[in-house]
Amino acid sequence: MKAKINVKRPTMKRQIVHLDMDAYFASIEQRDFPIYRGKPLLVCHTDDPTSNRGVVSAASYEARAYGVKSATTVLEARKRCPNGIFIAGNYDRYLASTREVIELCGRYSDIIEVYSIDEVFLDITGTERFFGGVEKAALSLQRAIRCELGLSASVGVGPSKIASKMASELSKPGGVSIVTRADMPDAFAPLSVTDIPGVGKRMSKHLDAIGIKTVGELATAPESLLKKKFGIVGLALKRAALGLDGSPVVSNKKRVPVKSFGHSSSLGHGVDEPEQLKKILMSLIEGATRRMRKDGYLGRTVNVCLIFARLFGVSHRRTLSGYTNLTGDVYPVAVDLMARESDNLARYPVTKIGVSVANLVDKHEAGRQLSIFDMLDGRESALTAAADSLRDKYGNDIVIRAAAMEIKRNRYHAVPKTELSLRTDPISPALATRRVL
Amino acid sequence: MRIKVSQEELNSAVSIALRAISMRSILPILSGARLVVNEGKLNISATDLDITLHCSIAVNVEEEGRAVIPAKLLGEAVKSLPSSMVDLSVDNNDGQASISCENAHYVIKTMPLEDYPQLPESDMKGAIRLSGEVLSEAIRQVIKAVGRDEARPTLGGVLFTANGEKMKMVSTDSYRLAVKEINTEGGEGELELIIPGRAVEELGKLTGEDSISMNVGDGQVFYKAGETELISRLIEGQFPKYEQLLPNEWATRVRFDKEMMISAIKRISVISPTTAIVRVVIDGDVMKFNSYAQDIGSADDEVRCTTEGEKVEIAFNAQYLLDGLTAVRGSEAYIEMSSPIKPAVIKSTDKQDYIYLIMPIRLS
Repeated sequence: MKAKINVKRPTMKRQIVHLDMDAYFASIEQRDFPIYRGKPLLVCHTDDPTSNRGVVSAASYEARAYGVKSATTVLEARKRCPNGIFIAGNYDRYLASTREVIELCGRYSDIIEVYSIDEVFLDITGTERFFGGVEKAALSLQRAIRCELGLSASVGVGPSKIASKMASELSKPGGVSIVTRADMPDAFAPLSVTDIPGVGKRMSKHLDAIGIKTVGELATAPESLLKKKFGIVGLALKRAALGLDGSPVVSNKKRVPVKSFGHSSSLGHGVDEPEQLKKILMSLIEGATRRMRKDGYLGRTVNVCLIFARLFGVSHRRTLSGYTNLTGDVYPVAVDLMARESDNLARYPVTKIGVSVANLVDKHEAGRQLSIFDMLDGRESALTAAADSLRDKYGNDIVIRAAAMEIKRNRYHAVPKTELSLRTDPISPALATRRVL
Repeated sequence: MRIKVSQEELNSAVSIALRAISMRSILPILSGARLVVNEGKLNISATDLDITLHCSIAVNVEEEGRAVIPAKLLGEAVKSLPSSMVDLSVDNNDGQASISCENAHYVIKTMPLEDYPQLPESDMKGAIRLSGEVLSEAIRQVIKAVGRDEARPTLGGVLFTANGEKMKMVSTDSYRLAVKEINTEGGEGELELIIPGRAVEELGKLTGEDSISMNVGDGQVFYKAGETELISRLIEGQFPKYEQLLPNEWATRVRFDKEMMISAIKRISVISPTTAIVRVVIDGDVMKFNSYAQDIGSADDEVRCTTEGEKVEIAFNAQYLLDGLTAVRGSEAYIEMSSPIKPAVIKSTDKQDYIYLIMPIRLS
């Protein structure tokens, strides 16, 4: 007889790092231009000293002493900090800097989620052992950013994303704080509820009304009260205050792989004239291949799907011998695929029609296999390029293929569809409150 | 119908005819082989309506007649028999064929003879004659470039054009183009037809040392090699005007050792089997090959060559390049290029009868 062994699968304790760049845009400016160092620097949208429009997007710590922080209006900031240096932000440089930060993070983990331009989550569960433990890993990361990139960062480590994010709040600026399960929720108790991601001005006002100002108060507030007052959001808030959050760090370093580009159109009561269907097909292909060109993809497999009289659907596909992103290559194949349904087309109206191009490769990897027809008639490539640049400049409707003309756009409204191999729930309910509230 | 024939002869005839049988045929009768016995011969035919194969062998006739027998079963039965004399008889009244050889005995239900379609026939008057060896080599050189894209049916065939004693065979899948010129051995005429790739491929398997007769009529092309006849329907439509693609000049011409280049390309294309791009840089007397795939890696190799003309950087589909290199004859070959977005040409260093044109991949 076989022995039955029950072993609880041992799970590793999660170690999530939240990296928060301190006064990010202002720090980059101060690093790159020594004249700004030690001065109250305010990054906003313009250098113009007479302009009071807009808000401050970053304030150096010297400026913060005057009570200015990001999102303060420029008008207010000028009042509070009359000696402040107001400069226009150079976002390309900041983005480039973020890329350097991300690259550096790659040494610590392969699971990196870029949360915003100045915040990154890293899942270092397991990889912390390369650095001699969680604390050493966190310190090493912070030191690397300081020494190699000349920037200051706050690092928070916790057993969940939300815990790590609040932990980094505790260590600002330039600190490292590590919160373990045992430390929670007391570690976060002194923080303001606004330090919980997703809790803004309005929510904090509502919480204030029931006597909750700090994370500690929120964590000990009775669940029933929160539920009564805020519904499920209330429960999510409480979980957040307790540092509980099961959501994974979702690596977005790699581009989420796109599987196909397709457009489809519902045709109301249906269309039965083949010529009209061809026109619709042309306009759908035009839209799908344009997105492929824009996103830098080439595809090989053409799929046409038809729904007849809202009763039944069929789809046909064919793989071409070469990769393409040109309407002129896809259209004849799609028409041919549609023609396979000639019996049904004669009998039933088409109520929905869709076309997609799959089997994709990156344009830079595949290149475009030229065909003898490019030599015999190279106009297709030239035409497509010209039409694309016109559309970029003047909008999608500026040029239409003759074969797609006379389609009433309001009647057959094309719905772009990109199938993503999606990881569901990229943000936890707690983090999702950012959108809910 | 009653005959005696050796197992070997019957087996080889049946297996040739069987090639015309399509597994996807919708008409059940087409899964049968038609057997006709008269004038001391057994003629076995099979068709899928696109191509038809007839194969006749001399047999010992005891009673003439005709019948349709399930082809696959017939083929397997005959193949499995011992090599000895086979007795084959059909009783059309009870619809049964009986095959005996030594102690083995098969009884197979026949198919209704009256359902079998009429097969095209030609008396081969005024046929063009071709050397079997020459034709077989020519087919080998053009068959790889035949297209498989159903949207362009004319590319799914080989264009045969004859003018006087010259015959040209052209194929393209729009990414490469093969042009071969051969001499006929007799019979002159002008013709221009597109023959389906599959028929040409079968023809390639049939041709041996025998000379081949070729004739056209009634939308069909007829080939006769010895006792075997292949008939194919023609593809209707316009073949691309390929002549204007053939470059008259080149900016770079490279002479290289064919086998070395083939090995180098096979070696580096291991890295990107799905995209299969070979980047070629020709600088001086070295051809450098590179293949690269994101997230996988890259591979490089070099081959010595003799270069005339400018430095060039160009990219090709590895398989298309290999097909061209294996098709061209001789141990050395030329590749001629004029620009990274214009067709390149692979040809033999001595003979001018074959051109393999290959379209490059435009890298962004």
